Amino acid sequence: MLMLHKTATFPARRMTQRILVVDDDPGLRELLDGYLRDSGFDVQTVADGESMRERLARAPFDLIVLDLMLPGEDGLTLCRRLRAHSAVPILMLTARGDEFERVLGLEMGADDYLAKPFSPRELLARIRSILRRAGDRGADASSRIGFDGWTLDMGAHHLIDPEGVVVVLSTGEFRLLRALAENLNRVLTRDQLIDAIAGREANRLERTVDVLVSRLRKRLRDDAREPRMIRTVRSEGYMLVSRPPSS
Amino acid sequence: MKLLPRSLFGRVVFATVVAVVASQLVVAWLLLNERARLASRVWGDPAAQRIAGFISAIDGATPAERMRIINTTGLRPSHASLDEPWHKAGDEPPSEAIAFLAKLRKELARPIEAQMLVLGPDWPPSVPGARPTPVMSGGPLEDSRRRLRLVAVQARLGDGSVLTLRHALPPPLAGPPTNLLVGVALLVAIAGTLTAWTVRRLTLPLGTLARAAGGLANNLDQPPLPESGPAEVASAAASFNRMQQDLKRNLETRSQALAAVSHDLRLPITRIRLRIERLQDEGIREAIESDLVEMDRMIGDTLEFLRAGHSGEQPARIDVNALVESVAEDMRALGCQIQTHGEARTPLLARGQAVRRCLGNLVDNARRYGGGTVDLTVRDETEQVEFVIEDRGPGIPEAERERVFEPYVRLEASRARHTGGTGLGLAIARAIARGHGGEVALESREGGGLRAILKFPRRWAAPSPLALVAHLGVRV
Repeated sequence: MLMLHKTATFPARRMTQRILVVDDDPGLRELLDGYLRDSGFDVQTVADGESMRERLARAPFDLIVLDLMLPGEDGLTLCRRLRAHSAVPILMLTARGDEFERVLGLEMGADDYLAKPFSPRELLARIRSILRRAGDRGADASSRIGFDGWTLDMGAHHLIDPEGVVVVLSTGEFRLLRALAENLNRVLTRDQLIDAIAGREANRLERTVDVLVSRLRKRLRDDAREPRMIRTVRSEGYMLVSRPPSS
Repeated sequence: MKLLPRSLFGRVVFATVVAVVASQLVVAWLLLNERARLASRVWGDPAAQRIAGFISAIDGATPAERMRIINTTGLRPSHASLDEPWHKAGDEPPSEAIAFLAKLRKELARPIEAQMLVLGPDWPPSVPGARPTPVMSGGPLEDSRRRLRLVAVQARLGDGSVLTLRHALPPPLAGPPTNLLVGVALLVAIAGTLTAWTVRRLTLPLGTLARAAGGLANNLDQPPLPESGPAEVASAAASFNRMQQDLKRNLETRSQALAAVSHDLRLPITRIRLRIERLQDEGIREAIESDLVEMDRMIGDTLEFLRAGHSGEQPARIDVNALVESVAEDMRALGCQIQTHGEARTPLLARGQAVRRCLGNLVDNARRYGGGTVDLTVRDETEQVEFVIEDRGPGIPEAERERVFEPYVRLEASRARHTGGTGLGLAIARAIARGHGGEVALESREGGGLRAILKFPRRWAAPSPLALVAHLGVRV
């Protein structure tokens, strides 16, 4: 953990976590500053890559919210350069939100991405999720997570079965599975899962975590009465279990 | 004019053959006429002159002199004798005989009664009168014409005796003009073949042009036409290619403008979302939020429509049955009675999210307007995977069934707005299907309702990653 991130090593020493917002739109910068400040973060905002490097040189940050479309050096380039010498978590803001950008962003080392126009609560949920992961085990820049022979492709929003056939997921199904897969073998509470699936695309009825879990079990060909992959942990929540390949 | 062939090829070949045959017939007629004239010159006129001179000489001679003349001059091809009776000629002497006699009479010193008999081949030409059985020439004309080789000319001399001259005429020129007819046939064949070959070469590019023009509506990215062949054809192909380029550029410009506007709207929407977080009134905040969701959906649909068919999504082998079940569950969550039937045996190569969107849009359309009961059937065929979506709603009149696939077309605007449609659902579905080499069409369901048939070919030549990279150079 020491070699991963300097600031992540001493999170307890600071009262608040520090976030650097890089976006060329002054209005959005100001609004994000206010919103994240209200949510309890220490926020600084800059307009381009040059100022970003200056701020980073002065003091460490816990997370960078980086806009993809920037004048001069674009977000992807900045992300790649940053990754070369730092493990600071990066949340990429995109306007296209299609697979190409997602894959590229994740491959350049971003930890997550959020398509504009995002809802503020969605932003907050993503930021908290990244910080939680970073605090636990450092930034995971992988765009694919494997479990029990299955693979979740974060870029394509695809679930790939052990035979290599793609199981196409709905937005809600993907978000829930992503949250579970990012926290493999760990129990997630219903509240955490609701945070994870809350978003502009998830429709009203999909928000029921239990419904989504039962749908996901079907997608994973898991037995609903005796689930072996998505386990129900009584009065706590759900957990995605991945056994080692040998078992 | 129904006999005229419809195709350019048929017409040109037809006209050429008719022209060649007609011109050859005129030439043949002229040739045959000339040949007949020449023939009568060659064997008719000199013979008449000579025979007339002979008759005049015998007529003016004493009986003793007559024999002497006959013996000394009766050389072949003429053979003369004085002891044959006046044969009775046929009622209708052949036309050649009449012409010959007319010439003969002109050459005679004084008018002498003369007749001409056409003899058959069995008449012994060298034996004078011993067993003369002249074959009378009153037979059918063609018969006499065919045999007009040996003739007998009889003249009643001044003293009442009858002079008979047998004369072998050169055989008539070969009967039917076979050579000529063969020649004409050969000419027609050569001209016809050459014309057919040339015209085929000229019309083939026209066919290619027609196909290219027809395919343009579905695929603006089709490869340009080869600009080869005759100058006019090459120039037409070049113009067509230019037109395709212009169309493409025009469309790209407009798409980019629309995409840019949609894009840029996302920033203010994001800002508004952050601003309303500070609103104390929960009701107003939710109302604004729901407006923003609607705006966002319009933008998303517009961008999706513009991108459909060439999104950045990579094709993969997708589980069709899981996809159908997932779409059906979405619908059930919205309170729709949906039944699924059939299944696919093997995965389908496609862009998964795009196919999910395409099928989802069609099923959602059935849910919105179809009276709440929907049947979704999967048919796995060797060549394609077919999805059939049936509802029990009022359906769509046949005249409108193509129009609903056009972007932003809503049949009942007010109703569609109530149900939250952006008017792009079917347009997106069709663009995605066509982007996969497939198709979607609507038809009426027996017993009421609408049936949408969505087909994805199993053999889909997914665009190469290289083409994808090239496309992404122009960002929509």
